Amino acid sequence: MKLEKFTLDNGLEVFLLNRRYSPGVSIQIWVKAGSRNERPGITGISHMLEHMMFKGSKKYGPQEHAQIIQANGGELNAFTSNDRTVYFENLPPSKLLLGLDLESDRFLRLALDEKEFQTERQVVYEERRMRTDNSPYGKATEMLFALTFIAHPYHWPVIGWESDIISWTIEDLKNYYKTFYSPSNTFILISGKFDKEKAKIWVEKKFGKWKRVKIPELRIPKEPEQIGERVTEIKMEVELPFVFAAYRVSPYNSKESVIFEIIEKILSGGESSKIYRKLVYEKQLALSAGGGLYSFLDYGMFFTYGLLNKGKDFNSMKKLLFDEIEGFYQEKITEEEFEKARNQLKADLVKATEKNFSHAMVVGESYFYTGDPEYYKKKKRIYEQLDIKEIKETAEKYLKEIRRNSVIILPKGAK
Amino acid sequence: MKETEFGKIGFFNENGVRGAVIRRSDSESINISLMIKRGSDLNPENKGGAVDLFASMLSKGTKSFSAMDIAEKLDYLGADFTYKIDKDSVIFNFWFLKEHFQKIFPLVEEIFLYPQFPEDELEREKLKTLSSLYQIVDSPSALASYIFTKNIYSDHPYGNLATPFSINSITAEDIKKIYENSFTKDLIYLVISGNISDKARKQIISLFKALPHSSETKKIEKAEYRGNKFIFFDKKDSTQSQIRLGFGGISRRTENYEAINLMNFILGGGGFSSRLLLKVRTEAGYTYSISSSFESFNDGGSFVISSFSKNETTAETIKLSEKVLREFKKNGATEKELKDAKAYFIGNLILSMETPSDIAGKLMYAERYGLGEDFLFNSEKRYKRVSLEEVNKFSKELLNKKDRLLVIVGNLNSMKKKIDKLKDYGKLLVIENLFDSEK
Repeated sequence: MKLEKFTLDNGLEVFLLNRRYSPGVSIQIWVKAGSRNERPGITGISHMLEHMMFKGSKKYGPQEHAQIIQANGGELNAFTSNDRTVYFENLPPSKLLLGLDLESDRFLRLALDEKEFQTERQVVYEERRMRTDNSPYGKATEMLFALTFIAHPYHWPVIGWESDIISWTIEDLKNYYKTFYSPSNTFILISGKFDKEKAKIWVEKKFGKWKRVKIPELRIPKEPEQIGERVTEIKMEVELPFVFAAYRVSPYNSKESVIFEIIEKILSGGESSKIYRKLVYEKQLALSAGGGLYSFLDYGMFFTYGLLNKGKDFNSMKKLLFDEIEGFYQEKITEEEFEKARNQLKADLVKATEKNFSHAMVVGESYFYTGDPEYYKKKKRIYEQLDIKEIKETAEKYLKEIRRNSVIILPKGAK
Repeated sequence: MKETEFGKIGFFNENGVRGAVIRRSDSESINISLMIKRGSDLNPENKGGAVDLFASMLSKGTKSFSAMDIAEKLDYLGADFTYKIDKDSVIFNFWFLKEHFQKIFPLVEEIFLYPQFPEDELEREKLKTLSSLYQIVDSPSALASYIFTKNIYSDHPYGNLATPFSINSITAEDIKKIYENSFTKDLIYLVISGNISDKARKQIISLFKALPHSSETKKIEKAEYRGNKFIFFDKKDSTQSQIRLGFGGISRRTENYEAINLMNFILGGGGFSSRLLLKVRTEAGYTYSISSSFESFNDGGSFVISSFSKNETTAETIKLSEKVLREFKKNGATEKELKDAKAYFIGNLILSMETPSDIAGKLMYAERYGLGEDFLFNSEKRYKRVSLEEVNKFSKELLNKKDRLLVIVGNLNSMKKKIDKLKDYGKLLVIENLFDSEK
């Protein structure tokens, strides 16, 4: 499973990963642009463009790309996040050229038709209603990002604010496409069962003529130091109250981020973890509780959540949850707990690389965030080199009340 | 064992213990899956949720280990023990790294053979289940599906869902009885997959050789849906409605089921290639997602169109979906649609067998519905031979149901002017509290 890389003259980087036993081939195209590349007024445009990438290009009509992929036994989709937009196709091995042809048409010659845009805007608005406006968890997530980041673009939601969804124009989309969809701002990953030499020829043939444009330098605001807790309390139609909180931490490409992976596992990796054991098992205050890490280019977010069991006291649950998180650095961490966390992370990596598509995602993420496509392998070594003292120091530095951002969702009428 | 492009696959029947092995030398992990070939019908009458509690309780205390001992041992190795319940089966699964087999094996033995179902652990699980039921109300999509399932199967065991009332009435004795009735040689099916040695395989199988045979036979009742029902769950804050529109369906044991899969793919199962998505999302912009599915089980099933739309276009979404359904029933699929749908299923077969656990899932599915051990290997042939006439015959028969169930979860007030447009679905039943009507 040797990873090979080559670069076209226009700057497009291509990674090839052959995998034994893989029944198919996966193509992933990573665009280094997401909601971080937006500005107020056009929030959500990265995600809207992702939708329009399915609505026709020079050779293919609206949805035709998707229909052709399916009619050849494949599947496809795309997703947009704060930092990136990723398009992917999983295909039978004989369909690699077809996949590359379809992709190149939309990356080089997207149609961006006004009528299609107007209908798709409604579709995206419905997506927002479903994911955010009519979901207490979606709403809490949106609020949590808005609280944790007050200056940086991570402040706004990937799907965009409602008022921006209503007001985007086709010109906004065209400008965004022209600015960020360039070979030098994109990389391709092909993984699975395929002939490397043929793949190189086909990528050159399909993407070689894609013109490079200079990507403007983004002037992205830095977050000011947080000097006090930020809290939003929302009363809405819910049966189970919950708290969702976050602490701004270091970005993906940092040793501290790896330390937070360990902290996450000790606090909430499985039913024997500290939070689960205390809140769900012993005290039975929470139906579910835990923590996790969102890792981005510029910052990370260590988050925690607690969903109250029916009939239990919300404030007791919230206090216990924050005590666990913020008192973590003072608690005893045994060598066994540390080893357990490392074992879980190693097992997670095995799971993530069992499938062709997810293996390519791991490689893509490594490269996108660190510039090293095999960073995920090196992380194993970092886990081994860490010591408990470093872990505690990092927790003490970041996980404290004045750095806390909390969204509290309570039922209407709650006191 | 048969050498295939997915690894070595073999079936066994040793001392009455049946199952399959998928061996792949490159795999870094092992899965041990145990399927019980009964699901909802194991729930005692009016005790919906008992099977769920049984499944969750299996690892919550055994002869030698407490619930927390088990959690600690699994977590330490980065291993998982999970379960999945559906209408016709309960599937338990261990996943772990291959080098941990000897450490996991005692847990497999204890959990499957010596569960104790302690009272205090049961109370914990009951509280979690109760809270989870209330959590359904906070998710419009889960809520709509819950109401649909409850009503489409009503008195059939498939409709015997958990409620706060049923959960409160379940005892440790109920759970023990389910265990005794289901852990029998006739009902379990074992699939061991991944990088597993022959010695380890034998060690696992031998665990079950002393299990008894079933003393109770399953009563077969056909699930049927009759009448028109229009249920509206009023969520006053909603700006969007969840829609479930459907009718009675068919058993998975129906001959030539591949024709039904192909038909549904063209109608609404095929994402961007489906007619429903094309008309309701791409052309009208009413929704982000719409799909249709036949949920087919041993004793019957249902057909459902699932979607959501803002309150102002909910009625239009339903009307347009009905129009697509009508046209499809009347004119059927085209040759091109069938050709593309077949190419999708045939091409996708290989992609859906990537890992040993993917294959394990398919083998358990085949066993559950009596599809035969060669199900994996003859799928392509079965899809290839489906004709357009067969697809269109099914569409005429299966979509021609007058008895409809319509469930909407949304804001009634904002839809009042348009409710009249939906009067064909019968008298409107408005619910504001999911568990109000239970005894």
